[in-house]
Amino acid sequence: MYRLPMKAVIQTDKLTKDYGAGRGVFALDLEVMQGEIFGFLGPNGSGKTTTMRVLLGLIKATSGTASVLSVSLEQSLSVRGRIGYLAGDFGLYPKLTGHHLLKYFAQISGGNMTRVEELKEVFAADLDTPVRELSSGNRQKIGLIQAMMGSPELLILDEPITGLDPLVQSRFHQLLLQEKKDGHTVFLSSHTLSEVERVADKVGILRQGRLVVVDSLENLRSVALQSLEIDFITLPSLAVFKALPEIKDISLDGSLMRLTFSGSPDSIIKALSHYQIRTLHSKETDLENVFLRYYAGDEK
Amino acid sequence: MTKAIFQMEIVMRRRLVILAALGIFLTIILEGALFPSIGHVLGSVNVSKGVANLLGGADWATLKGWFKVEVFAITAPFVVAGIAITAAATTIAGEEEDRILALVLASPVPRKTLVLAKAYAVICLTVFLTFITWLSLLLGTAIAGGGLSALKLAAQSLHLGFLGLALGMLALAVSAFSGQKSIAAGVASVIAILMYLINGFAPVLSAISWMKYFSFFYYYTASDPLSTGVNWGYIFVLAGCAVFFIVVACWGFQRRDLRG
Repeated sequence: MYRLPMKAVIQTDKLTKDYGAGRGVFALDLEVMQGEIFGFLGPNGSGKTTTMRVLLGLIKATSGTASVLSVSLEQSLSVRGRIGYLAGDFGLYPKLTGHHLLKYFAQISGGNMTRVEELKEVFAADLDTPVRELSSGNRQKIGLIQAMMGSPELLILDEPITGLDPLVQSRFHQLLLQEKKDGHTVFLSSHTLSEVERVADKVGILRQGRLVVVDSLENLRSVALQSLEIDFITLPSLAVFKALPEIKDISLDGSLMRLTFSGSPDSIIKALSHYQIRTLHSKETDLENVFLRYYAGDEK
Repeated sequence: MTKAIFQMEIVMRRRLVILAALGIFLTIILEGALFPSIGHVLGSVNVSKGVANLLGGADWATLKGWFKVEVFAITAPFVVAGIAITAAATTIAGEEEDRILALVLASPVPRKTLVLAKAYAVICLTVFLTFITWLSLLLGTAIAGGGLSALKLAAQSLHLGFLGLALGMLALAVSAFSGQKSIAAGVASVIAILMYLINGFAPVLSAISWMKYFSFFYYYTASDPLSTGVNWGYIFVLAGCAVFFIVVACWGFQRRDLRG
């Protein structure tokens, strides 16, 4: 089947927003392709929200250029109706109900409310109570419906699962995967890896305003350290395992061997096949260590 | 889009404005009812020229003087201007501080459109308060025994409305520039009080007499609209200032980063 070539929905070139004293984002080169779920990761204050606000024209870049939906930031007003946005820390008119608010946002964005009922059911949202009487989780649901109700081509979501219970989080992630199937693009920020790991195709990690890595989850997983804990019946030779290049760290305590490795476990499994083993525990491949490594600044 | 923003603004401010309108109405009706029994007694009280200027002439003996002192000197301008300042200060900076504006401006809403829609809403609320003031004066005059023409009352009310608009739009400009509600309301309120004092003392303090032209209150009272009718030149000055502040608000808001 012929597939249309993917085009960049978000593209930045040396994009900088300098607040002084090292705060802001600096020389950001980013490309988010159509139909992609891009996870934008970083600790609090790393510049994720600043980047999103620059892309939406809420704040102005100090230098560099960017385009959203193939339109430069200077002209981006014309495409904002095709973008759904959820701010990380947003407010809503407290006296109004969710229905009233969503109607207002549909009016000003020129969009429609056709998906409101569907999204209301998915999120189990209360749209009939004034916002001031709702819990933070229920307000977050209104924010998400507001962002998604017009089926926008691009979703920019800043910490979208804040305050949501695990069931609603799961439903939300299913929705994001559906958005992707429909060819829509999602630019999602988070400071927790587990969320991004569930849905993202590609991850960018931001630290102190600088992009330290952009890669696919597959590639990041391939360099992620994994752990094995093996209880031997016949004692192994530590030297044999130490000679394997994939192994990064190894210890033997009586019959119990603990090791960490990166890449394929193939050579380790082959080496283990020469010994009798009582138990073997493998820690699930997890990007947490990669993530923490970049957060901490150890990019070795 | 403009209509939706305008309507939202009206919805958010309607309770405040209705309460203010009720306050003005009750005050003026009460003043009208009190005049026949108190006006003539107070009319003989002598006050200094400076105080008399601050009190709109301090002539309690006639219904015209009574309304000038009791309604148009302090109560009405500070209620109308106060509501206009509060609404205008809250409209951009308040929503920005409450983190509502980021969602609104992420929509295809030009900043200029947003400022104009909100300015239009503040103008309509001010016009409504001015109209209620005029209606209340008609009723108050009837209760007090009559003697003031509806047109002259309308003239003074018109000057009142434009005074409110000029100060309200000043607050809007500061709100759009600063993004801080307290600064917008504070700056506009302090300027309003200074203008009021300058206009009151300028006639008796020659050193500051030239400053009266910088006071909106001068254009509100100097031509004595309750006696002479509308002074279109002065209305033009107040309207011109209001338009200037709206232009400044648009310009300032378009050029700055959204806070928060």
